[in-house]
Amino acid sequence: MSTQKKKNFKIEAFKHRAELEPNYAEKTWKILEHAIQEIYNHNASGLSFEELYRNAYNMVLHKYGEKLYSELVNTMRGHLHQLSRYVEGTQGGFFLEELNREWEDYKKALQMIRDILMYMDRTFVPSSKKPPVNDLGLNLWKDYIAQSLIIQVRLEHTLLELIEQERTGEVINRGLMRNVIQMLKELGPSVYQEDFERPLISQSAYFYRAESQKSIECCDCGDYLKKAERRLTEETERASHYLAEATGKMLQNVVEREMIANHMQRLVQRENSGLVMMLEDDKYDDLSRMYRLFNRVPEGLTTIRDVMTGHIRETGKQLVTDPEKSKDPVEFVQRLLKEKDKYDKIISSAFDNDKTFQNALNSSFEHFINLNPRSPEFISLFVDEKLRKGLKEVREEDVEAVLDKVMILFRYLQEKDVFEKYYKQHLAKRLLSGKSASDEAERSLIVKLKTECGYQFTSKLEGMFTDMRTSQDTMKGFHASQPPVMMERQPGLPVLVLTTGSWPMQAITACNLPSEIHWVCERFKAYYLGTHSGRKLSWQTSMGSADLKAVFGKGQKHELIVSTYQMCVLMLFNTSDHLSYKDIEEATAIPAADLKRCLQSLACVKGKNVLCKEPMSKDILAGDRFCINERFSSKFFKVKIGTVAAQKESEPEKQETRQRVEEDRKPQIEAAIVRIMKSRRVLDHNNIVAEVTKQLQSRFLPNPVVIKKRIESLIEREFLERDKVDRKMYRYLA
Amino acid sequence: MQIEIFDDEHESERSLRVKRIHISSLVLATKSEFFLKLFSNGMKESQPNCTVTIRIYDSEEDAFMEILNFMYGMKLTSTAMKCSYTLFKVMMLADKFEIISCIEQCVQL
Repeated sequence: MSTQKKKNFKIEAFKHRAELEPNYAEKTWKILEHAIQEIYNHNASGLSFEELYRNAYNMVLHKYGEKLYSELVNTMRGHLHQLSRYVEGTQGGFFLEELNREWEDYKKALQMIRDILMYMDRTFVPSSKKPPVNDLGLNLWKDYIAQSLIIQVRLEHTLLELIEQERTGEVINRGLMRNVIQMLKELGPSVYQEDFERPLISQSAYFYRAESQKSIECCDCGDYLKKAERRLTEETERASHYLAEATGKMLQNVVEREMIANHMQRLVQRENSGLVMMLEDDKYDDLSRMYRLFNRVPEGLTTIRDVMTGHIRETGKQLVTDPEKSKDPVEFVQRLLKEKDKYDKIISSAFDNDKTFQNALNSSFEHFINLNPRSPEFISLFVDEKLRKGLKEVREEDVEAVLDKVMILFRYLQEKDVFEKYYKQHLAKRLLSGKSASDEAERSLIVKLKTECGYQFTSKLEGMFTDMRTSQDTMKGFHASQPPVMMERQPGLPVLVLTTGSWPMQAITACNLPSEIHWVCERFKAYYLGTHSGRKLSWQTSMGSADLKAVFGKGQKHELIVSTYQMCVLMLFNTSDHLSYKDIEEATAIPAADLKRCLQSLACVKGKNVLCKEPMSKDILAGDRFCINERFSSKFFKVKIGTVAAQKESEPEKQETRQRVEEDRKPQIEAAIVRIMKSRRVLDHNNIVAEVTKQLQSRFLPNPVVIKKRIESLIEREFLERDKVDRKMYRYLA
Repeated sequence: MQIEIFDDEHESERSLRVKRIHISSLVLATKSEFFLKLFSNGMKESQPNCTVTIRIYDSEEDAFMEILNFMYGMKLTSTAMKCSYTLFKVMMLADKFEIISCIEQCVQL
């Protein structure tokens, strides 16, 4: 299409077509009005857009914009007036359908009218500050239809009723709902909110309040939560189908508030189906649902957490304080571990591994484990049991797993130093009696303790292992130094040289060893002091063990595995048949308590009674007499005679250990005070206590009273002084 | 497309002459809001196989051709640019048919 034509240049005043017919505007508007009516009557396809546009353009161009606009308004009003009559007159069920259809038509028509009046919209409307045709159309629709008194009330009522019907399980026409609600949205956010959203929210609140009241009366907690969850998904789904997103959120809030937040306490505390029940029965699904739902409302998780914490503390307290249950330490710890496993599993599978829940679990365990002052001892005993024999047939990873779990319990302990004390004792027993099942496992646990508490905590434990190794070398050296003839004649004597301080030693109790043994001991002493000058050896007779060959009356041969004390007693019977308690005590010089225990184990244990006692009774009395049980028999060749020693500590022993622990704490507290004061120079009492507690809490929880005493002691020894002015302040002296 | 050209001076129902040209509705619709609606809003012109008629005045013929030309090439011809009268008419038509890019270019000149 080439239009390039040469034109002569000519200046010509622009001719505005001034000479219009007198009734030009009226005539043109008639054309347009007719067209608009045709559009309303669905006859638009016969109209010429070009013509109508041109006419509207010309009207605006010729300054008839105002007339065009006002005539348009009149025409639209007229149309809408008729329309509203029609819509009001529709019969019940078809109201929404009709309204929707009229709306669709109206929108289409409005679009076309806007198109032909596009030029007016672009030029006249902005300059005269009137609403553009589209807005005008919507506003008029709003005034005449959507917010006309009758239709508005009917529309709101119909919509809400349909939604309620859907809530009660009926199927409604969601597409229609979406369209009508979309209409309200298009009429402006205020129309949607005022005429629909707000009434819907309050109606929903009413609905769910009533429903939750009804449900909570008749459902158990789990079922109720299921219902609430279903309602929530329903509302979400509903919103996605025909509501505004914001309304969906509001509806969810309504459900959350009415069904969950308002009944939270009641749900959680419900007997026989509440949270406690779910926890006890490991109802992961229900718990997980509760977590999800409560997570949506403020304070929801706190509520669950508080109840869970309370429950764990309560059951834990029962567990650790029940004297029946703390009879068997292994069982006791096993129970703790089981409880821990149970809640770990609940938190991981139902509570989304929530950190705050884990913390709550940890603090609850910490709380109740420390309620029982014997927890450290029991945990150590549990480890002892595991490392002694329990692990023989299990694989290494399992050992690790058990130890890891124990370490978790260990972490909860406040008095870690008490644990250390017991652990040392138990480890010593294990090492000395050679009952430690696996060196590997022992070391692994030491490493764990080391990472948990630092080098200082385990240095002595490691020292014990070192002693075990060096002792082996020492024994080799000793055997090599002895002439072979001697070796055959004398009893074998494996010696373990233990460093004082590393091992938990009781005060040395001299006991008279049988002469054969005594002699070998002397030889070893001579050898050892010969190679290590400047050392002192003392015999820990309370810890040793011995293998004895015994021949009984009818020639039964047995090998008896006994403790050193028991050996001393039995050897006496090589020279005499009958001995009284007094005789034995004098000959062996074993401390009375130990001797009694040792005699008890020799005479009173069924199947292992190598001695006979007169009179027969369970208890050993000073007047008792003993002889060899010649009729002794056992189906085993080797007979192990244990000492009747309570695995758990007896009351006085416990006191003693306690005392030792307290004693050991003193220097630690003092050291902490000095460390702190050295760096701070001046500090008040409360701060010192706080700092000391902080520094030491990885090992134990120092008592403020004790700290105060230590401070006083340090002042006495002139490490610290009180400030002259402020008596609460301490000053470091150095 | 059929262009009916009318006399400026005398109002008459009969056109002076009729021009027929082929245009791409797509090209025009993308450049002009008027043509977009013309071809799409459901009235006579947007029915399939309908010959679209545009009525203009005699004096507007050059400018209209110029505008059609512009919508294809996005450029005004040098003749139009030199003639302020044509340019004025072009602007009027660009305004009427809402060809914003064309108005912009006229203003820049």
